[in-house]
This record gives sequence, C-alpha cells and structure tokens, in this order.
Amino acid sequence: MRDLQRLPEIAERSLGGLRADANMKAQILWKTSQIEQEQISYHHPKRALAFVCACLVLFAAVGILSQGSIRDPSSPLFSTQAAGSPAGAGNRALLDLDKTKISIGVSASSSSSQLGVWARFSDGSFPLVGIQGRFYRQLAKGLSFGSLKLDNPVAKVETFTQAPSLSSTDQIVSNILPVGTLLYRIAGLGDTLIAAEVDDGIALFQRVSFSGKAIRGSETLQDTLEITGHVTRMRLSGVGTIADPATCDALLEILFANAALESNGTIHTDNTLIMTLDNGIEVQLLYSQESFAGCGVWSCPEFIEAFMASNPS
Amino acid sequence: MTQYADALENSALSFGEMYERYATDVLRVCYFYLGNREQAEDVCQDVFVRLLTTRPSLQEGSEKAWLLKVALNRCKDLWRSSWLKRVVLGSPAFELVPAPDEIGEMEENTAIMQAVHSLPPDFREIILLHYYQGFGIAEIAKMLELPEGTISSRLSRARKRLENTMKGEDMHA
Repeated sequence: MRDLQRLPEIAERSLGGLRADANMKAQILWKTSQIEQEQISYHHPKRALAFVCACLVLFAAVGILSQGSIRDPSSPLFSTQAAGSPAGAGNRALLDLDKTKISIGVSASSSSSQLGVWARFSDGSFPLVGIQGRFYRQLAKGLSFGSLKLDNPVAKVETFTQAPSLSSTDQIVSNILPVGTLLYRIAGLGDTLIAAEVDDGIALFQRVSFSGKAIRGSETLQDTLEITGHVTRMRLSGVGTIADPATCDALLEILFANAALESNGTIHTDNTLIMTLDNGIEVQLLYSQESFAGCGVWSCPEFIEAFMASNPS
Repeated sequence: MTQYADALENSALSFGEMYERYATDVLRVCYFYLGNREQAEDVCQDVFVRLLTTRPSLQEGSEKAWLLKVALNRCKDLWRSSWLKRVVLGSPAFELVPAPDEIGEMEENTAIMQAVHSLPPDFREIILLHYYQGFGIAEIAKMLELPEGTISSRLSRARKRLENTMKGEDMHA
C-alpha cells in the first residue's frame, strides 16, 4: 500500500480547498460568547436567590437586635431615588469646600469595574453634567492638566442640583461640579466629551442618555461620538481587542453607517465596547447582543459581525 | 481576546495559535471522516468552542491530539446518528475539495481517498490518525483509550481491507 504512505500528500492535494478561515474563527468566537451569555443568564437567578436569602437573614438579624429601638411611626420617611438622584453625603460635601480643595475624581471604591470606564457614586447614581439637554457622564479616569488640547469654554455650571431638576433641558447643571465651573470641549472631538478643569487635573465627561433624553433633533450616533480618526484600539468584552487604527476606523464606519436608533434610554449589561483614543482617553458604549448604548440605544448587528471577522486578539 | 488567552493558560499555545496551527487539519480530518462539508465545519467549530468553554488542562504538545480526539468522537456520534438516513437514502458521494491549482491532478488521488472514506468508522479513524496525521500507535492508543494491541490489529486489518478495495477497483477499472 504505497499510496497510504503518500496519504498526507494526496489528502493535501485532494482537500487543499478546505481551510479553516477567519470566518469560521469568527463563528467560533460568536458561539462561545453566546454560550457564555447563556451561562451568565442561567446563573443569575441563583445569584438573585442567594442575595435574597442573605438579605432575609440580615433583615431578621437586624430586626432581632433592634427590637428595643423600633422607629417611632410618627417620624418622617425618605424615599430612595435612582441614578442622578440626590448624591450621598460625601458628594454634597463638595459644596461646603473651597473650590481649590475639591478633588473631582470619584473614589476608586465607588467606580465599578462592571461599568467599564464610567464613574458612579457609591449610592449607584452617577456623576453628571447637563448642558441644555445634552448630558455627559463622568469617566472614571481623569487626566492631568496639559495633556489635552481644550477648546474655549463652552459653558459654565449654573446650578448644582439633584434629580428631578438635574434633567433640566434649559440649564447647565451638575450633581458633582460646583457652580461656576468652566466646561470645555476637547479639540477635534466635537460634542463627544466635556472637560472640566479642577484643582488636580481635568475631569472628563462622555455624552450619554439620561432620564429618557439622548439625541437632540436629527442627531445620529456619529454626532454623539465624533471620534473617527482618533481611535487606536477597540476592546469588545468577551470577544477581543483590535489594535489597528485603520481597522478601528473601518469598524466605526460600519457602526455609524448601520446603527439604527432603538430608544433614548439605555441598556443594563456588563458588556462594554471600550475605545481608546489617540490622546489616551477611553470612551465606551455598553452592548448587549446586537445593541449599543451610550447616548441612545442603537441596533447594529453588522458591527458585531465585522468586529469578529477582523481577527480580534 | 484576553479572556480566551487566559482560558488556555494551561497550554503553551493561545487560542489564536491553536486555531492557526490545527483548525485546518481538524476540519479536513472531519471531512475525510464524514464526507459532508457542512457537518465537518460544524464539528470543527464545536471542537474549538469546547476548547474555549471547558478550558481543558493541556500538556504542551498534546493540543492537536486533544482537538482530534474531541473531533473524532463528535464525528462518530454524527455518523451513528445518521445511520438510518444513510441506509435509507444511501451515502452521499465523497467529493474531493482540491485547491484550485490541483484540480487537474485530482483523478489519481480519488481512488485512495474514496477507499479510505469507505472503510468502517473504526478502521477509518485509525488510518486517518496514523497515515494522514502521522500519530504513532502509542499516541493513537492513548487518544482513543484503547490498548496498543487493538490499535495495531485494527491498523493491520484496515490496511488489508484497503488493499482489497483498491484491487477490486483495479479489477473493475
């Protein structure tokens, strides 16, 4: 059976047209991410159940310990509030400080790794600036002064406030920046980001949806994310990273050309598309299945497919 | 892809490296076994998805053996499950998929490829692993979890069977 000894060579000739290509690799990564998402969904009910049980035990323990000091029914009750609601005591203290003493960075413990590059307060709400209906959420990482090219100031914080007046569309409001803080655009990035000069550097804010408000008029996703030509790296959680600026630009082009507005709200997910700009800033969109959320929720399955086909590493 | 690089931390190779090195071999072995391109592609994808989701602890140098073992087990399942269909409808022709510049030389290769493909599954997998993928008897025994003697015996019987098949083809030619 001389032919058997030549089988590798014969098979190479006979099956040479059969190759595992980048498309198949993308399919594998896609299937894997689907399985992992299913596993997360499967585990969530268990986590929720465990959380409820833990809460019940804690509640019972607190109840037993505080039997002698049950609240007087006549004492006032305060409702809790959602994102953008009254900031915690630590945040309100900003008002009491001299502006030169204020550190605008949100503490590391209060920024969630699940939120990617966005900051939040310890009470779950997030630090925000609203400029006449355009809302910007603080990025967890600020920058040292001088490492960014700022345009002239575009606005000045008029009101330090809390929800519901935080969602005002005719004022310049913030729940973290003191009244009088100057707000700047960053050169070349349009309305994507707002910078505020603070004593120890620059606090950065990315345009987002807030309180059911996102785009204005006929704005597109691109109008809220003017970063074309500046992205050096894209990281899609659970999938991979593209570190070639030309590919990043091509992917952005696909995103902007195909994104269809779903709503002015947001989505709740831990998955992020983090984009690193050439000035070192990282901005992000949340993503879930085929939708991306930043300023508005946008559907774009084409982007996911193109990203996976781009050989992320 | 950091996540997937981490997933394979027990191996010297990353997912990307494993895919580049072995995916085409896995795909071709699956196709050689099944004779169905769509099924072969599905199996190949499933094998790598399993690699990423189960994160097996692979010793250096054993990656390809693991991939082929999982692939062949999946091929066997598919082959068994399609038994009724094959019996009722008949086996589809095993078509070669040459690279464009090899099409002219296809005929001389067809006989041996068809003969290997027509072997019973147990013989087919051993011929593919030994002669096509170059694994030794001991490696195949470990991969298929069978005694080396069984592998040697099957290999010998598979060769005999192939010889008869090829002779039969010559006689009918």
